[in-house]
Amino acid sequence: MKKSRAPAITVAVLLVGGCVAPFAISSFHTFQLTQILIYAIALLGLNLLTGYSGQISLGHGAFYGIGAYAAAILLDHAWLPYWATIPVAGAVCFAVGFGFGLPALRLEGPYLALATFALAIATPQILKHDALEKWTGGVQGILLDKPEPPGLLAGPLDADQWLYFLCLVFVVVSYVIGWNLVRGRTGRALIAIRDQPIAAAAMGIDTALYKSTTFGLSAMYTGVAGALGALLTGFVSPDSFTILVSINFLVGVVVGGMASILGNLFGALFIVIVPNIASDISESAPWAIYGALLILIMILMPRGFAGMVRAVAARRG
Amino acid sequence: MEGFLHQLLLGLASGSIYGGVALALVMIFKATHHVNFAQGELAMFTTYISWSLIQAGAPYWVAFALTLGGAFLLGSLIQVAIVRRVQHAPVLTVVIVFIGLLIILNSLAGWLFGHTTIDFPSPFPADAWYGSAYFSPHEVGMTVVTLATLALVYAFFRYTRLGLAMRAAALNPASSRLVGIRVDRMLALGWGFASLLGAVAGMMAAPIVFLEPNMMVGILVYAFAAALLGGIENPWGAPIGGFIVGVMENLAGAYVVGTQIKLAVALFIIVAVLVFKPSGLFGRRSVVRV
Amino acid sequence: MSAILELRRVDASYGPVAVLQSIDLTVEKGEVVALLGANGAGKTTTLRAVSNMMVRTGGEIRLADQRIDGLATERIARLGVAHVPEGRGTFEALTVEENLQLGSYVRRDRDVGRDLARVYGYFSVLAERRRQQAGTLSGGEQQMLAIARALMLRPRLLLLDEPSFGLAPLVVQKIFGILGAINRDATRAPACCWSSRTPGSPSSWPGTPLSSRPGGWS
Repeated sequence: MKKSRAPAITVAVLLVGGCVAPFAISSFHTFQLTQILIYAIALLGLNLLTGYSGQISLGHGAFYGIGAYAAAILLDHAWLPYWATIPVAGAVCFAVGFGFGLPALRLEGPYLALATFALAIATPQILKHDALEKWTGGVQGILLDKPEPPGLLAGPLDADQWLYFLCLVFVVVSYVIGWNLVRGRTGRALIAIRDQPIAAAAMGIDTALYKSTTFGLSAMYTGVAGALGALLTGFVSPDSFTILVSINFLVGVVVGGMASILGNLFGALFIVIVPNIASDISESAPWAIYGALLILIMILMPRGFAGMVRAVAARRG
Repeated sequence: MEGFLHQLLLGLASGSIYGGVALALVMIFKATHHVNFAQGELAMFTTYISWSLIQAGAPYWVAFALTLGGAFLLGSLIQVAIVRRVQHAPVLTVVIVFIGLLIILNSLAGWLFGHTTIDFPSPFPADAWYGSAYFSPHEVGMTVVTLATLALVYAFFRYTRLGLAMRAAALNPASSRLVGIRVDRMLALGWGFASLLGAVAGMMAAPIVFLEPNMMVGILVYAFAAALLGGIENPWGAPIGGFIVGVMENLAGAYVVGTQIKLAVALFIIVAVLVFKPSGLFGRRSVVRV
Repeated sequence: MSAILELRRVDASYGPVAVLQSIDLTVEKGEVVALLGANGAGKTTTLRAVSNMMVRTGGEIRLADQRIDGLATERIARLGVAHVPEGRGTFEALTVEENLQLGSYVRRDRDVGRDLARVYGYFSVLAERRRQQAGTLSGGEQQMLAIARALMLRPRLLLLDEPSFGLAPLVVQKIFGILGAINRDATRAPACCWSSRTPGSPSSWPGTPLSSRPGGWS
């Protein structure tokens, strides 16, 4: 099997570029780039579910929101320093995802879509609810302070850049873990379950456990992204985590191309940048332009950006 | 007790709308194995068209009929121009296309017709004889119209030649081609019919929920739930699922505070049911031979 | 030209896999031929090529004097080619009668009802089960249904892909007996091209056996 060095080179280039970028661009663009990195982690989570497990989720916005709120609540009550809230948020989301996955894994296709949709609808309602207002801040939400760079780095980096690099580190770590997960036994088991569930079960793979664990891991990644997102925007409120977030994530995963790191990055880029482009094209009906672009891209690249790259590479090779 | 009965009947009335849209969803699912998330927006858009016709002076039922024709054309056109181009693409790709359609229709409606809430007329006069304390004339008329439509659709598929061909095309496209059925054309017709059903549901719902670009969003969610509850492959399940969802929604709304929460509650109950019956109440678990 | 079907230098492939290379085949009007050969000889591929199903073809395929290569499958069916595929292609969720009605879907003439009665006459077991769901029929009954459905088209050419596959010898004999009777009774019986793996074809309906050779079936 011929090993192409193109992916490795691409990754190296992106990493170098990524490290240099915040010093070369404005604060706002650093903010946008950070948002892209955060979404890249969120999309990795969703991709784990849809790309490798072949299941659909319309509810990942809920995990993003739960992760964000977990971090916000911990920070707001000063129980943990900001950097510690992130793994805790991840753990919380893992538990929620695993717990949700257990009953939900009996459902397939559109039925599973509805169940995850219900989760996405319910989460903002629960967050708004009076009973939890003491913790969640109700409709108003919670305001957060932007994390400052630690003493040593306070000179060369401002707060925006520090957060950017923090997210960059998380992206690299998430992707390395994710890559190993997918390439190893777990990944093969997941693919087996996706493609031939009956045979997989017959071979002794505990399908239920794997499926729930996948849900949990998927939720965990997106929850970590949510926590980082909370730190970036500086506040959380129930209405920031509506079903639109879930739909946005799904768009990102499909447009980027499933089961591909490059695809994830492209997808994250797409969902951050393209709505802005659509607004530039049309003041009065930007969403119509966005919708048209979505359809056009899906017709031209049915397997997403990554799919198109693979097709081009296959034709050349 | 009286209040409960009232809620029950109201639930049945709104349930007929959910059932109508659910049937449109089931139709397209049976033909293509895709859930058409844009169904609601299509219904909303065609309702705006009927409103424009009424504003231009057309009598209600003339506008109604013309809108049905327009909806049929629009649905078929969308299938031919857009959906057909991704019919062999992966499932999620098609989902995104439907989301794109949803967004376009919603945005276009707002742009063309504005975002202000509109009072859509009801063809059933407020003082009609068939109204009562429990059921307004429109609610009665709406239920009758929707049930009549469902009956016509059933009869069409069961007793007509074209209906049989469309069923065949959905069941087994390859064999259908071998008997000479133009499968592509059947799919376009299927979309046309589904769109027509949606238009009926939209025009019946508008007097109650008021015409505005987001009017069908909530209805679509309930219709989706209703279709799944009834079993997504089962046309009979759709109206029954619709009634169940309608009643559940109303009861939840009456006894649980808040309209948003009631959506979450209703959905969770439905999902709980699905966990025990993963193919819906009337769906058939397809036995897969290994 | 009395040939109803003519293949001239036809290639057929599934994607990059070439199965038929420049083959010829001729079937006369009303003639019955049997394509015999082992697995992989190209029997199914030949029949599929005629109906333009799942294969890419090169070369010329003519139905009577009309070129049909490249036409859509449903168009070819409308021209009078009834193809019973491998696996029979029954509409399992529909009733027996609905399956037969679909067979005559493209016909506009008034003899449809008479043909239905005749078909029920030949295949009496189908008449008994006319309201039953097709998927609940036995293998032999489904094969009869598939053939009956094909006959409802009043085809000029009947293509049967492995009609004896998976059926008990007695059932096969029965089916071929009926086909033989149809062939003798009808004034304008369709030409028929059927395929089988076994060289020993039931003698009640032999047709002209052909085997695969380089360059075609002879």
